[in-house]
Amino acid sequence: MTAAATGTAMSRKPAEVRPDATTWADVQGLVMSGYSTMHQARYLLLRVDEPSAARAWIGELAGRVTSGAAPETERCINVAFTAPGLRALGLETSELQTFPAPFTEGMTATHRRRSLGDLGPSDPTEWYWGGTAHDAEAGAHAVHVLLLLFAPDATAIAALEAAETALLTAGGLSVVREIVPEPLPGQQTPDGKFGVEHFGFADGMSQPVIRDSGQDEGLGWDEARRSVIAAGEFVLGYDNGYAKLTPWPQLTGAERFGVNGTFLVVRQLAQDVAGFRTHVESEAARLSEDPERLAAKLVGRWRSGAPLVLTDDRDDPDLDVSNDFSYAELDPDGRRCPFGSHIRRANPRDSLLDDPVEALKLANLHRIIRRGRVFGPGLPDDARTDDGHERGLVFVAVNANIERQFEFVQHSWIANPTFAGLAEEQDPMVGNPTGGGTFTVQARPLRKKVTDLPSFVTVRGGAYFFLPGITALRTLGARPA
Amino acid sequence: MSAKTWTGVDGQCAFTVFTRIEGGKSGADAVVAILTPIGDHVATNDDVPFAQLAGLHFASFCAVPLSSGDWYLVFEGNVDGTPADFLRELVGRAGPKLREIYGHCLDFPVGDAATDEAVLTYLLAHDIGADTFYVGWAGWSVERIRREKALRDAIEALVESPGFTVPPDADLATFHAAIRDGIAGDPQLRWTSEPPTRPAVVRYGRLALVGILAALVLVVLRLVRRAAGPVRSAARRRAGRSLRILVGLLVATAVRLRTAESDDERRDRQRSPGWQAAYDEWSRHLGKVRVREDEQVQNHMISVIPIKPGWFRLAVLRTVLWVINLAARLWWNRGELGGIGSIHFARWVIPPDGRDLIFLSNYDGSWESYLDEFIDRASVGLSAVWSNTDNEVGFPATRWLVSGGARDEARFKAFARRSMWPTTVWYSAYPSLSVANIRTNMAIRDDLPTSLDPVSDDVWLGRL
Repeated sequence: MTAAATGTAMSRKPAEVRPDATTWADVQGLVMSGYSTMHQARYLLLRVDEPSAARAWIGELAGRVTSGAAPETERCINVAFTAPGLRALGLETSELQTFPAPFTEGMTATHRRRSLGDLGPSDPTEWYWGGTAHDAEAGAHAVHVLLLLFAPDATAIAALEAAETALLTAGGLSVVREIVPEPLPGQQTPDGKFGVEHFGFADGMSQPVIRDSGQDEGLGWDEARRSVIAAGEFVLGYDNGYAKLTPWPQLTGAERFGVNGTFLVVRQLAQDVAGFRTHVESEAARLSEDPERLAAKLVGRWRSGAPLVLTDDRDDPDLDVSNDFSYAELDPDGRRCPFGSHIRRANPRDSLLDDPVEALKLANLHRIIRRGRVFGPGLPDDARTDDGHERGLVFVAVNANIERQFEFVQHSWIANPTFAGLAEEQDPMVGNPTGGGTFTVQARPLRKKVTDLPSFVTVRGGAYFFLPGITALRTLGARPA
Repeated sequence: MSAKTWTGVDGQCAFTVFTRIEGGKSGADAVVAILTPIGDHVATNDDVPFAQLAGLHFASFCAVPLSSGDWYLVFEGNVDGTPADFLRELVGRAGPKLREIYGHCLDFPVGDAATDEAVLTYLLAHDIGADTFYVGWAGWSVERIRREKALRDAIEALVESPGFTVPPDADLATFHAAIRDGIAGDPQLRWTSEPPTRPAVVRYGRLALVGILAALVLVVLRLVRRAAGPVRSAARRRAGRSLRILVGLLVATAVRLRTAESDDERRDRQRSPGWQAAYDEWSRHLGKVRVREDEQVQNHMISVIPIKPGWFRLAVLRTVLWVINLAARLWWNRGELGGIGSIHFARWVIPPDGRDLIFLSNYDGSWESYLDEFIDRASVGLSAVWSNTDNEVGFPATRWLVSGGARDEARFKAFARRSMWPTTVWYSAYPSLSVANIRTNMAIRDDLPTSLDPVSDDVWLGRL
């Protein structure tokens, strides 16, 4: 078996394996960029109807797929596959086995549902797509392929979508569901730098930077130490955070199939904006707090993005893009940015061990690159009741090791009731699927407790996708029946 | 000296009732079928009422196959007091179910012969204890852990209650005093006015370990001094001989170890299928192994791995387990085992035939985060133990017993996963508490009765 040979080769890895320019020309562009000049996007969830035609479509598509090296111009296209999708495309069981368990088992496996907190209203039986209500293997709603389309404006995206839909339909695939993210300007801060999610907070400030990607050049020492992460954490085939090679998927006759590929975690999250506003305001009144400050305490940043660690008493738009902080030195007791706040859970930086240097090193073994966009119209600022429109975030994360990266963040940090020594509370924004949660605001002299937190975020769909390198797409396209 | 003989020095004991299941795999399936409904309702079932058994921290039942090909039932218990006292109460309360379960096991008394006393004798006779036993909070009884949690809950409720009227600008000592006075009024919590006590093993354990190590050093130094004594004295000859034997043994062991390790590496290169393929092939069983994972804050794992053949690896392993046990008993008894702060109770035990190594752990958080702690914080200890064992995936290449090994993240995790079996029944007496929560509750209790300086008051109030 092919895996046997490479398995041995991997354990005898001679020296560092680092990416070069050819790597980024083969890696799909989404790994490197969120395409911020592409204001419009369409996410098409596809089903494979005719495997051999679909393989030919993939082979053709490989020529149009945006790579990490190509500059963004008129349009960007990326494509990813679920495990049922690869099976539908004709991969053998022995080949699928070489993919990691979370990918082959899927996001909805029973134990995974527990560890991700997909319970109550977020239970996969309720999902719009990717869930268990629809037979994941064969049903009409099975999601096999994710086609991501990006263009600068409405005209261009309409043209791109029409053209690609015609090609995929002719290529033996059909559209199961379409997600239309909001155009970007609507979710950007005035200086155009970061998006604003529906609860009203700037989002996307803190992203890891891939080593040897070019994006890691010219950073300050501190920024580099905090944010530059081994390429193998985000692209298969290169040294990961342990200076080892993460095993990659292999096909018969194509042992390097997985190289330059990675995994996408996609979750469609609906946000109850009216619920968030009313609960924060009523709890703020009960606790004699400023509602804006209490909301910031839940998030860990003010609306502008300014981190609480740097400005605890008021929003400071001058600090809006600031990511230049750590917890151990400035806020060891959580009295500025609460231990349980969303950003501290999502990336605890140097705070989880007594030794901050070691803590940062370990936290950086669990980083993800976020590439999501918001969907649904914004709720007017003064609204306190829901308007019946669904809105939220299509969470898209890039990682090479789903278990050690996305799932770890979700389970061991976000949803962990004992995170950082806390007791019986979960992330107040996204880790509280069945409601009734508690949130401790560390304060002097005495902490405050936000109670009866409803669930503000409900999972509506999701799946794990493999995002192959462009060479691998060609391999897939050229496979005989 | 086996760990079994001194698991009780700090109050908690480990028992591992280890019994052969008759009828191989189908016998094991029958036992699992009896156990599954108990595991599904572990805290509420009437057949084995774990929650009513005094002094029980954690317990588990798992059916596992060993290298001999036979299936065994492993019944793990972590209890206050002695296994005999606990098992006597268990037999009294769960006799019929135990007879049904153990009726599938070798040598269990049949029919009228299975009196309570006979069942107890059977269980005790099959207790193989632990070669290495780690207790997160040595000396903290179930009662004490629950009591300190109740105290914390009472304080949290008190400060939220309308009756708690300390003005926000009052000084910290006033807050502390108001909480102390509020708690003092609760008859259930009167015990908190007593000063806290520390178990002897926690107070003196580290001193004892330093003493033992110092004594060892002294013995060697004395040998060296004697060996440098007057020429041709008998003492010098004897000391010189002892030293030569000691050094010779160490060198021989090192050489032998290194040879074994390079042989292992050479064999590993010829492994077929390769480790990755072996793991991939097995990984479809992963869902079964994870059947009870991530249902609460804590998790359980049982791992069974064949020890590498030959007396040498077994001897090395027993030595390593003995050393870790010593360190765990005397040094690592305060919520942390060599940098890992998430284990409540764990053990390694080698069944009587010496062919396999069983690992049982009751830990906080996900398996993934637990293994990451092994890799990032304790790879030395894990490699020293598990590099003496081998399964289809194989332990990653290790040098000098402790280097490399567990640091090979992907393969180490595959190796560990491959060694696991489903946990059919698992009970925890305090399922919502992490090791760190117990530490916090303990610290709140410790300083409740005392008056503190402002800095300590600030820290104390910050624990809430």
